[in-house]
Amino acid sequence: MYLSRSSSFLGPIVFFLITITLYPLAFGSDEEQLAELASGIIWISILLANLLSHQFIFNEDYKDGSLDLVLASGKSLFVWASIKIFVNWYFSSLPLIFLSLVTSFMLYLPLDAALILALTLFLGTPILSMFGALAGALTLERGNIVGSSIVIPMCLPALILGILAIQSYKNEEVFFYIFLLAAFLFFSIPILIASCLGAIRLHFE
Amino acid sequence: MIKVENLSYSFNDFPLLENLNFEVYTSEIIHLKGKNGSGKSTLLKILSGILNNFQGKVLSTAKNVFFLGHNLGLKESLSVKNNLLLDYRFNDNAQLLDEAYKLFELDSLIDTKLFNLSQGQRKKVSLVQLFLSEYDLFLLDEPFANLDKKGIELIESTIISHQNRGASIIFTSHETQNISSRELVL
Amino acid sequence: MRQLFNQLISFPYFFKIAQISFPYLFLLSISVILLGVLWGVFFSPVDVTQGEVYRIIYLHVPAASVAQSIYYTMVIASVTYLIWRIKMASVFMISMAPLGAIFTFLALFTGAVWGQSTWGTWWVWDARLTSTLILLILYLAIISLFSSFDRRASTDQAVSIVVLIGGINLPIIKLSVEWWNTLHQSASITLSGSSIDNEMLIPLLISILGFYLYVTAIGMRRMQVEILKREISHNWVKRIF
Repeated sequence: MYLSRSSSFLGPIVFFLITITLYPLAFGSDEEQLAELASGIIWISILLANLLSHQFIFNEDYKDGSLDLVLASGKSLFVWASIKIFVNWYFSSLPLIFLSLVTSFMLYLPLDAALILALTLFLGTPILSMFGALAGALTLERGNIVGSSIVIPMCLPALILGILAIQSYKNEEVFFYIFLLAAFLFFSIPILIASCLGAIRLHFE
Repeated sequence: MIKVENLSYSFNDFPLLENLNFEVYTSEIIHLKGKNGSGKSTLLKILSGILNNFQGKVLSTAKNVFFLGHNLGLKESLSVKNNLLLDYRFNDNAQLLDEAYKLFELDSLIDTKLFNLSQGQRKKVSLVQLFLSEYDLFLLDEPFANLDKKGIELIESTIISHQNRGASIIFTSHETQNISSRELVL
Repeated sequence: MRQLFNQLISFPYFFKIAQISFPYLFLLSISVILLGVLWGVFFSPVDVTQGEVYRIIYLHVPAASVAQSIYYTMVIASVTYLIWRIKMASVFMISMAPLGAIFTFLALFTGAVWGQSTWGTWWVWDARLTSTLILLILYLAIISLFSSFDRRASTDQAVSIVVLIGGINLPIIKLSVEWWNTLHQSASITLSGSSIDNEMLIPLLISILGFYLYVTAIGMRRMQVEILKREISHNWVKRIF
């Protein structure tokens, strides 16, 4: 249904790769140092790429009047927005998770940690996607930076829990953090999608 | 079909619609008139359920509402055909679609992406949607804009055929139209 | 009770009440703050470990307390707005957010001055400092929303949504920052732990009370301004001026 957007499919991937590349260029290619920073580097890059790729998911529908039609149809806006977010997550975040495995080798992250990384991203990126969609929904009229600067502080728990899980991959605590991240995801889904709807609705007051 | 009681709507304290009362019956074609900025589009958006933040009551018995706004709700990056196939408002019966293409002179354009089309041609694509959707209530904002004479005749006959089915139509237009059964001036 | 509430959320009535009570409240708050701070600075004992500089506590703690309280009252207002559409709630949020930002900044600034003289550094990535910084960012983000919409109702709703989500998130952020901190902490400097002497506590409490009164007074004034902005075309405003 939303497949006709190959450029927006590649966009986040390119963005993610270039941000990853920036870090070794800035910090040097020291193996130990990079391995230590790797989880943070990947998480921050994913966070930014994810927020950016979700910023404008409702914009086109708002501008071309499709959103009007959705509202006029009386069909559930909740279902519509959920599908929209899920599809966008599927096409823009899922590839990044696989790519993050590749980049984690490039940043000398041990394999176990890399797998934990992928797991935390799998749990974390939907949260980021929903926050990104919220940012986009808030700034439908003028797509600007205000939206993402609002949601980045809100994403911090996901980022922190994700990185803590990776860094404690050797001991038992990793399960604790992953469990918390999953709980955060679980509770975010209804709250964030509901607030997305509120944010979309506010443009139709 | 629709009953409006004491409807008011304001934009930042600036009243746009004040205390409207009217009723629309089944099989009626209503021409909504008014100056620029008198709130015609806003009224249609309220009736279709797009805008919610109004005072007063809007009672509707329409099971489904077809809304055509200034923005047509078509996807720029899709072809004419895909745009129509994506529309959930009618059964995409291939035969009916083919007929509609011919009727609206779109048969040579079905695989053209929408951004290559002129405003008038885009309008025709949304007229196909209008033509095929068998809805109860049609709210059409400036349906005649950007259309040539033939297009206008086509849309008039489409509206009348919907009326004959028992649907009600409310449309806005600056020109006088003789298909309407009543005029409503804002 | 209900009637009183309805009166308070009506703009003209609130405006009148605020107009009458502002001068008294303002003077009262200034004198309470002066009492607390002067008592603290001149009459309470010197801290054994930190010396005279600890006296900045009489500004720091009240500012930090007010900064957080403002946010939580804003969360209550946001829920009120989202459920009952009471316009006064959005007036409250929009008037208080800049105050919250100012007091959060004041808390960070006095904290930095204090830290510089006791720990020898302006800033440490301690859990409490970090979450206060995030609170400041949150306030600034909310303020940046104010001018992003053409419709006032849209602004009100956007601000409510962000305040609410932020409010749900803030305890989680705090908690996760604490976990982060326990794992990363290199320098073990914590603000808590030391008990406080009664002779210091009383002026501190007075100072906190003064800050709250001050915020109430200034907040009411700001709400009056916001109400005037919104209702400028209404008759009751014209009758006053």
